[in-house]
Amino acid sequence: MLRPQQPSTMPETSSYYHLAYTIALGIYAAYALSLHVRRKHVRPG
Amino acid sequence: MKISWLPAIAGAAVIGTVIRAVFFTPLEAKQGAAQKIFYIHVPAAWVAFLAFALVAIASGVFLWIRDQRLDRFAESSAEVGVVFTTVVLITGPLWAKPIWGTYWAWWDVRLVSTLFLWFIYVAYIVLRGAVESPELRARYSAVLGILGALLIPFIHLSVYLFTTMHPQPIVGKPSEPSLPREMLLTFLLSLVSFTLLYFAFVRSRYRYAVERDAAAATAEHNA
Repeated sequence: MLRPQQPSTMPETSSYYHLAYTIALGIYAAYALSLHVRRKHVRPG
Repeated sequence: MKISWLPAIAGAAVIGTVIRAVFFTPLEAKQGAAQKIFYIHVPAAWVAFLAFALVAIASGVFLWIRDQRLDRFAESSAEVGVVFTTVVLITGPLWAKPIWGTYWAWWDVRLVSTLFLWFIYVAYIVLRGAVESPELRARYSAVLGILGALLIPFIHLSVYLFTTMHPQPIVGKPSEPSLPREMLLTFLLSLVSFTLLYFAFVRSRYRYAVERDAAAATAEHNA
C-alpha cells in the first residue's frame, strides 16, 4: 500500500511559502533595479 | 566591463541560500513547507534592526561632528531598512495564515510595533523629501532616525513582556538553539547572505546619494 511521503499531520502549506519567497525575492530584485536606474539618471553624460 | 564584487558575492550568496533552503533543507514536521518562510523572514528582520540601529548611530555621530557622509549613510541605511521591513511585514502574515489561522492580529504587540517601525522610517524618507535646506534636512532626519531606533529593543522584548502569538526566538536566546543542525546551518547562511545583501544595497544607495549631490551642486553652479 502506498503511503504519503509527508506525515498526515503536516498541513499543505507550500503555496504560502512559494508566494512568500516570490514576493521577497521580487522586492529585493525591484529595489536593486531601482538603485541601478536612479544612479544611471544622475550620472553625468 | 567592471565587476562590482560586493553585489556579485551578495547576489550569489542569496541565490545559494535560497536553493539550499528550498531543495536541501528538510521540512519541519508540524508546520510543513510554511516553516521555510523562516529562512527569509527572520534574516530580513535581523537586517532591518541592523539597518535602523546603524541609522541611529550614524545620526547621533552626525549631530556631534556634522559630517555629511554620516547623513548620507543614515539616509541610505534607512531606505534599505524600509525595504527589509517591508519583506518582514509581507512574509510574516504569509507564514502566520497557515499556522495561526489568520494573517494579522491588531492586538499583537510584536506585529503592530513592527508596523510602527516601518511607518517611522517611511516618515523619515518623506521628511527628507519635504525639507529643502540640506542642513535642516540632515538635522531633523537625524533626530527622527535616533527616536525610531528606540523601538527596536521594545520590539525584540515584546514577545517576553506581552501575550503574543509570535513565537519567542529559537536561535537568538541565552540557551542552545532549538533547531536541528541542518536547519540551523541554512538559517546561519541566510543571516550571512542577507547581511551581505544589506551592505551591497547600502553601498550602492550611498554612491547614488554622492552622485545626486554632485549633480545638484553642478546644476546650481551652472545656474
